[in-house]
This record gives sequence, C-alpha cells and structure tokens, in this order.
Amino acid sequence: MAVAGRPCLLAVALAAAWISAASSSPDQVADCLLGSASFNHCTAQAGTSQKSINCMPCSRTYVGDAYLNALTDHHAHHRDLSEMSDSTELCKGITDDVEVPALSELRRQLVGEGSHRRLVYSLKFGACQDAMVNFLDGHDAHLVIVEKLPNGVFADPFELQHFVERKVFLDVAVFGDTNLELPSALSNRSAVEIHFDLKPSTSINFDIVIDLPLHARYPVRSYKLPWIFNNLVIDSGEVMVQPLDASGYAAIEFDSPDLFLRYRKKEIQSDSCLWVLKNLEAAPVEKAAWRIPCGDEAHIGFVSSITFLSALVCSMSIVLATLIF
Amino acid sequence: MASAAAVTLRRVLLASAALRLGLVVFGEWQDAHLEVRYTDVDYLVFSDAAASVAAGGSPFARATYRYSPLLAYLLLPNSLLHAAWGKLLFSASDLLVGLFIDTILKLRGVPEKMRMWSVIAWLFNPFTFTIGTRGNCEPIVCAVMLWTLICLMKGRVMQAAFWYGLIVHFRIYPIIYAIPFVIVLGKSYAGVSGRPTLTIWRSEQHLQNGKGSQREGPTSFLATLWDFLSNFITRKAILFGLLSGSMFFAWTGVFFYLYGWDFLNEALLYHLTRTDPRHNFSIYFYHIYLHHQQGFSSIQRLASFLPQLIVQLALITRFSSDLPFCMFLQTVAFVAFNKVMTAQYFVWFFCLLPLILPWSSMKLKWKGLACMLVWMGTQLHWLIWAYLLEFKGRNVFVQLWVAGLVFLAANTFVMLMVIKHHKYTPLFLSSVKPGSKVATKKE
Repeated sequence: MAVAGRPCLLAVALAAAWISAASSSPDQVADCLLGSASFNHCTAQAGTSQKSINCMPCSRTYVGDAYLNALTDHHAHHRDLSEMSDSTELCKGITDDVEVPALSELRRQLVGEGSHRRLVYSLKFGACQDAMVNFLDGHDAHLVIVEKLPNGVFADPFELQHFVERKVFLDVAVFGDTNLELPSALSNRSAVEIHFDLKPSTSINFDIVIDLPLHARYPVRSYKLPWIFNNLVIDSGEVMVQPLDASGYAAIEFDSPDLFLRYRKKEIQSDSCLWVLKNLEAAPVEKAAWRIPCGDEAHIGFVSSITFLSALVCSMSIVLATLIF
Repeated sequence: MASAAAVTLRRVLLASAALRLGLVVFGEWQDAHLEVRYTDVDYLVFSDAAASVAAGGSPFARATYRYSPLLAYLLLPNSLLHAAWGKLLFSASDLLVGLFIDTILKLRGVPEKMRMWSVIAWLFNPFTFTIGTRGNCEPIVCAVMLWTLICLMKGRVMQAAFWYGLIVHFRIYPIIYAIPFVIVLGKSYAGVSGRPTLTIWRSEQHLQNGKGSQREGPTSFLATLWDFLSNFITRKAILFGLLSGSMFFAWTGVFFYLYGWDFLNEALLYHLTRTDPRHNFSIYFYHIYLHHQQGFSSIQRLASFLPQLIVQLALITRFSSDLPFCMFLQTVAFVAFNKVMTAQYFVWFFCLLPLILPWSSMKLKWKGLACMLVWMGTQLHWLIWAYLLEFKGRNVFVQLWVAGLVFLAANTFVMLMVIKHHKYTPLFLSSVKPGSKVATKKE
C-alpha cells in the first residue's frame, strides 16, 4: 500500500504544474488528485488508496455538480471531486476492514445511428461472487457514473427521469446546459450522473450493462478558414478542435467517464450518516466518436435567395388566383 | 327524418368516441410497456406544468412549457385523478368539433347526408384522432374557434368576442381572423330584425342554372377596403373589438401578475419571435440554421414576413365575406408560409375544411384525390429525407430543404385548386331583394 508514493507524488506535482495552465481539463485533475488514471497502477498502490476514497454526508445526493463550474466557465478555478467532501477525516474508521469490490473491466460503446444514440457501458467487478454478496449484504451500494458530455451532445433529463420511474436507474441528474432546443453554437456543455443500485440480484457475476440515451444538437456549421486554421472552429472566444471532413460532418469525441462506488453500512445512525465514495479508477476507455451532419456555409447564398424567391412566387400565385378565380 | 338524422350523427359520434377511447387506452399501454411512447412529448410538458401548479408553484417551472397557464389549470386533474385526464379532455374537444361542424352546416341548410360526410371528414381524419389521443391541445382551440363562428352566425356578438379574446390569449394564431371578423360585423351584418341573415346552401345544379341566384363574386379590392374602413364605425364591430381585446389583455394581465416575465416570455413573446434552426416542414429552416449564429438582418426578417403578409391581405380583401372559406385559406397560408411548421398545425385548418366542402365543385374523383395525394405525397417525401437526417445521420440538408420547397408548392397547388372550385357564398346576406328566389335562413 506504501509502494506508490514516489510515482504518484511526481504525477501530482506534474498535474499541479499543468493545472496552472489555462487548458487543464477537470477530469484529468480529478483523476490525478484521487489517483492515477490507470487502475493497474493505483489499486495495488497503498499511497493512492486514501486518495481514491472520499466521504460525503447522506444529505448530499450528487457528485457531478462539482463539474458544473468547470464545464460552463472555462476560466474558473477547476473544482475537483476532493472538494466535494469535507475532509478525509470524515472517512476515518468507516473504510477500515471493508473489502470494497474493484472494477475489473469497463467497456463503453456508442451505439445507434443518426441524432439519437446510446452510450452503452459494460462493467465487471473483479471481486469473487461471495465477497461481492457479503459486501452488498452489509452495505447499500450504488454505482455512480459521471459522463461529461462534449459540446454538441445532450441528455434529456425528462427522458432519463422516465428511466428512474421504470426503475432502470436508481437516480439520474443532468448538470450544465439542459436547454434541449439550442444548437451547439449557442449551448454549453453538460454532465450526466447515473446512480445504479447494486444488489445481489443485479446480475449473475455482477456483469452490468447500462444504457444512456443521448441526442445530438445541430452542430456549428462549417466555416471556410485559412489553411492554418484547418479543422479549428472558433466558438465562444475559445478555439475548439472540431474536425470536419469533406463530406460535411462534425466529429465529436467523448472523454472517459468517471466511475465511483458509493456505499454505506446498512445500519445507519441518522446523526452520522455518511456515504463513502470510492473512485473505481477505471482505465481510460476507447474514445467514442460521433459524426453529426452539419450545414455548409457554402450553401448560405443560394439557400437564402431561393427560399425567399420561392415564398414570393407562391404568394404571388395565390394573389393572382384570388384575382382570377 | 329528424330522428334518423340524429341517430346517424349520434352513431358517428359514438363510433368516434369509441375509437378515441380505445386509442387513449392503447396509448397508456404502449407508454408503459414499449420503449417508443405513444404520448406526445408536449403532453408530458403540460402534465408536469399542471403538477407544478397543483403543488402551488408556477407552470413555467417546467422547461419548454410555452402555453397559457389556463392549459395547466385544465389539466390539474392529471395529478389529482388520472394522468390520462387531459387526453380525454382533448378527445372530447375533438367530438365537440364534429358536433359544431354539424351545427354550422345545419344552420346553413346543408342536407343531412352531406353534413355527415363533412363531419366524418373531421372525426375520422387520422391526423385529428391521433392528435387528441396523443395529448395535443389543438382540438380545444378548434372547438372554441368553431363556437365563436356559431356565436357570430347566431348574432351573439358579445359571446363571440368573449371566446375569441380568450382563444387568442390561449393560442395566438387566431389573431389572423380579427380583420375578417370586423369586416363581416360591418353594416351588412344585421338584418331588419337586428339579427344576421345567413345564406343557405344551394345545390350545384340550381347554381349552374343561374336562376334567382344572389350568389355574388368576390368583392373588389377597393370595395372591400371601403367596407373595412367604414365598418370600424359600426357598433357591433367596435364592441366586438373592445370586448375581445379586453379579454385578451385581461387574461394576459392576470397571468403576468401571477407569474411575471416568465409567463410573458414563454407563453407570448416566444411565439412571436420563434426561429427554430432544427428541421421542420417550413422552407425557412435551413436558412435559419445557416444564419442563426450571426443573427438576421432587418431585410431578411422583412423578406420572410412579406409573403405571409401579402397572402393574408389578399385573401382577406377578396374572401372575407365568405367567412369560413376565408378562415380556411388564411389558416393554410399561415401554416405554409410560417417560419416553423409542424404537423400539429395542420389541425388548425382541418377543422375548417368540412365547413367549405359543401360549396366546392371539386369531386373526389379525381381532382380531390389528386389534391390529397399531392399534399400527402410531398409530405411523405419530406419525411423520408428527415428520417435519413435524424435517424440515419446522413447529411441531406439540401435535399430536405428542397423537399420543404416542394411541400410549399404542394400547399400552394391545393390552395389554388380549392379557390378555383369554390362557390363563393357570403356567410351573411346583406339584404333580400324583392322577387328573389333565394332562400334565406334567419337566426
């Protein structure tokens, strides 16, 4: 457990230097402060185990709201998940002698076609079945997935609420821009937090499959820029890479999700109810890519002129008919 | 004979009611068991807004609720009784529209068999019975509009003004009928008895013989303009305008007091300024998408508004005296030239179509069928490209936009055909000439 000290401290130092640059992203900050992104590196490392565990009062429902400021204000100080808990002091004694299941496999795929698709997560826990059952018998445990959606993709909170009503998810929340009608150019990013109840009956061998329905916004229409700006789109004063191929599609990529195990003992004392939040330190998944058709700037001229001309011709035809017939 | 007619209408209404009830029940089952919902997403918005009101809050706490709070109040039983209450209410409004169509045509002396076909054209139109049973509120608007027309036909001007002001508050689009209403309420509205005299339906054969017909052609532009200007000084027109305007502002004022700028922005201003870059039937959608990042110039705004204005004015000046016909054409044009067009808007003119069918010389075979096929075919064409864009992710923006242009052309074609084959008949007789063989109906 003490072996990891030096490599991770170096990682933390590097991350701290990197954080001071403007372009740090919240997920990397969170990963590094809570532990390395590679579960192979950290789960066997004693120095990181404390970093991967936090506690929060039961009154606090969601983890993902920590991402909200980072998603909507690029220049704000990046919050990380360690800020959401009061201190590691809260966890004292709670996590002792608890064998918490670890994630052994995580796969994520973007399935479907068109503007409405699904992110499908397939997870396996590495603990043996007896250990898992013992853990779940003594604890209320939830799998928490925080998916940071790229600009151009949104989750419908009302649709997700339907999943909660059908008891597919225990709970779900969407943070950030939830205006479903805005195109990409006028919208901000959002994040989805899914709570999935882990029960002994969840699935055989604790293989879990979770579907998250997502929808595409109308992307920023393609620009004609000088060659040095090839594949860059100016959006809200910040240069964003939005690869466009010749056939008129915007390519959107998803970062790796954050996965946590949230648990507490079943015999809760109301005055000291705490959730323990363990970062499952999932390995980075293969980036999911979504190609969304976008409008072409080259069409502006003839589309506008023919549109107005057609409306005028049709209206004059009707006027003529009222005079003739 | 009267009882036979009543039984027939009763049977038609009962069959329609059974169909709608069955669809509501099926919809509940589908929503609970299948991934694809039967219920319109708008119904969920209404229901959530009603639940918010039931909990003592504002209906505008629900995102995308862009309607009058009256609708949320009407749907309070969704939270208190059953979630399907609203669908039943809308379906009942559907049936009411059918009843009102029969009433209007009966007032104008249309034979029973023709009336039944007109009523069936509404009650068994797939658009209409799915709209209500999926939870869309348009049938309420249609029912109130037809009731307003009935009130005008029966000389109940104040009642008409009350309902008209209310429905404009509820759903802004009926404002387009304001000028025709003022025109028909002019000097020629009231007969000797102070009540309006309706023209009744005449058979086509008699009209073709041209004997004793007082059928007038559409009025000239100047004559209509003079009528319109001089009509403002009639007592009934002024009272109608004042009362309907007061109703609109009263309801708007009350809800502004209760809900503030949320109400004004979401229920009123949103509809007046709405530009939706997402694909819809309107020819303007792609133009709006390509321009929405940098906004629109004044010239562009004017250019998109001008065709609509021209058509509306032309239709009003030529056909306002034939009120149902004018309302029908105005609505088709309003929908076709609007910056946003969705399928639920079609119901606005479908409820008026049965009112003009008895005066159309267009036979179902083959001109009527041609109009239906052209209109539905071009719609289907648009839907295919929309499906490829939305569900297959193919870049077919240009093709979809062209399909929208073709659909506008189809709407224009249908309008021209309807105008050409319509027997222009003013709703009210201005006077009865001595020796005339034209039968009139007095209310």
